[in-house]
Amino acid sequence: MALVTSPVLAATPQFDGGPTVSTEAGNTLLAWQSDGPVRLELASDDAFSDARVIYAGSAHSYFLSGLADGDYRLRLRTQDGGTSPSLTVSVRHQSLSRALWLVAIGAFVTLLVIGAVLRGARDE
Amino acid sequence: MNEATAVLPPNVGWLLLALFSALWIGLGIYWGRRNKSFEDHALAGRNVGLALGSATAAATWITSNTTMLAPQFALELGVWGMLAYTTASFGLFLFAPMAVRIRKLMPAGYTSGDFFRLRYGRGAWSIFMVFTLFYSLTWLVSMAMAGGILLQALSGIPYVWGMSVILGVCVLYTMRGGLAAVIGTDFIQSLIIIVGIVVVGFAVLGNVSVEQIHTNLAETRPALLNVLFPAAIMAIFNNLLFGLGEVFHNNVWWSRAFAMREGVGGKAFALGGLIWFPIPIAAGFIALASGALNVTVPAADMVGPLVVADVLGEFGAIAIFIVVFCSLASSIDSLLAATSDLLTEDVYRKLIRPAASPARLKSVAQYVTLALGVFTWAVCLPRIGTLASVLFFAGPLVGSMIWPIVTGLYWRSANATGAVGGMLLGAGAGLVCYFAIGWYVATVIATAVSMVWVLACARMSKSRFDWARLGEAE
Repeated sequence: MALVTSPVLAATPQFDGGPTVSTEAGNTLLAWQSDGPVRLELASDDAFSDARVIYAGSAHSYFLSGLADGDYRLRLRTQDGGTSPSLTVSVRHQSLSRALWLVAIGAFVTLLVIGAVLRGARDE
Repeated sequence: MNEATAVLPPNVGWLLLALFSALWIGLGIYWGRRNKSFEDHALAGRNVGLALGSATAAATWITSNTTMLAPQFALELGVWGMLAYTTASFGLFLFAPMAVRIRKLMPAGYTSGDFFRLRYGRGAWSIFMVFTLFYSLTWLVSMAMAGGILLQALSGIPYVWGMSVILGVCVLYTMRGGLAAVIGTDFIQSLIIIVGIVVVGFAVLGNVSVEQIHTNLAETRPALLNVLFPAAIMAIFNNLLFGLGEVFHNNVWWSRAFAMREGVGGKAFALGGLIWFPIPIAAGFIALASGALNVTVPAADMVGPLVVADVLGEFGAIAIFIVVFCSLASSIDSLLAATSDLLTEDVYRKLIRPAASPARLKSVAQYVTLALGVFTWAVCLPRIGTLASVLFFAGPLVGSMIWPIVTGLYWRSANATGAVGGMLLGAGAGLVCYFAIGWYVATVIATAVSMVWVLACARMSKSRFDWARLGEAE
């Protein structure tokens, strides 16, 4: 029981899951364990040279979205200086050419449906 | 979503739940007192006017998904995601002329099952019944489950109690009042939802400007403003076709087409689409404003309530609770009524007891509603989270029914081979793509494959359907 209340453990927040998260839509739900308030920092390099705080508070999750292609580093920091191991979020959006092909197919099918209904209604 | 995000104290939640439950049940009993036959119960005496017709079309289409998933779409997929959600209104716009045609061809019809049976025969009808029951029951389960989860998240009311109360209330007033009660409560619920969303939208705009929202998104979530965001642009037509398939095939909409007075259906569905169209835009806009308002989002599906509670305080929390309750009730009651009518008409009356009296059919429909409620409650009780996601499998199923229905209503050359093959091939190809590629292609591929088969069969067909055969429904 003494270990559970140890100040060292209490000061070290941890992300849930593995050290790397991959997403094809630029979004992911971050969840973590911590005993107190944390600051969630986002940076583009391992040194966190351009880190910015994207959340500060006592919640245990944060929904990250709208990220462009790239690798992002995140870490949690507590008020007394505890820092979590960093988490890498790797964003690789789906193929744009495939997306545009599917849009073209969807648009074609939709236009034919609209045409069939409107022509049928007109000829009634 | 978690209970830590509750925006209302439980006692306020219980009070609101009790007040609105009493109101809906009271109105259901009042509106159901004139129902004597199955036609009164299932189709409100085929006498629904324009105001009630438009309101019920809009309210039924405003599900908890519209108020909760539309903000999630915007937060995940940006501006395109928000617009993709609004494309579901095309289902109502295009069903408007179809409703006129349905009423003309089948003046004594009861269900969409009647159409499949008379137009394409028992084989196509059987496939339709499997597809539509899968879709309707999973939608019903997902709505009831969402009800319990949302009420718990918003006010801390335990999941089982919230789910049981909302389902029980809808079962009670649908049993007692039938479609008349469903449509009547839909009218009030649609007014509450629209006023609630408009107030919230203006309140958000009063706290933050569009320019501030744009600047914040460009700095912190740039992909949400990207016009070539792959996942978002793929969602546009997949969502649109999913919406078309849902509306075109389901008895929720066909029963309303049969229930409206002659000449009303076309205008009512078009107006319903116009009323519905701005709701997901307003709901999505709220989500996009979350960053500029400095509202932390611990889970994507809670972004709407959290922003509203932040902007409007306890008043906003009460408003969002009522809006969510109304949007859930307006969809659950419609699904209960339409599915019960489908089972009563297409299974009990057509297969088991063709000579059943109108009073007996009404009584059976009430018991079927109760059975559907008990079944849904039992499935929802263990709160298996993955069950709600099963609804997404329905995309290929409903997409594959679009062309058999459209050509079946307007083309004499459309035939059973085309309908059966279109549904089976389309649904099969869509489901394969669902698992092999992703949800965002499933409905598009299902509809495209079904279309090719249906059009080819109609082109090669020498038979010409006699429209008078659809008038045999009674």
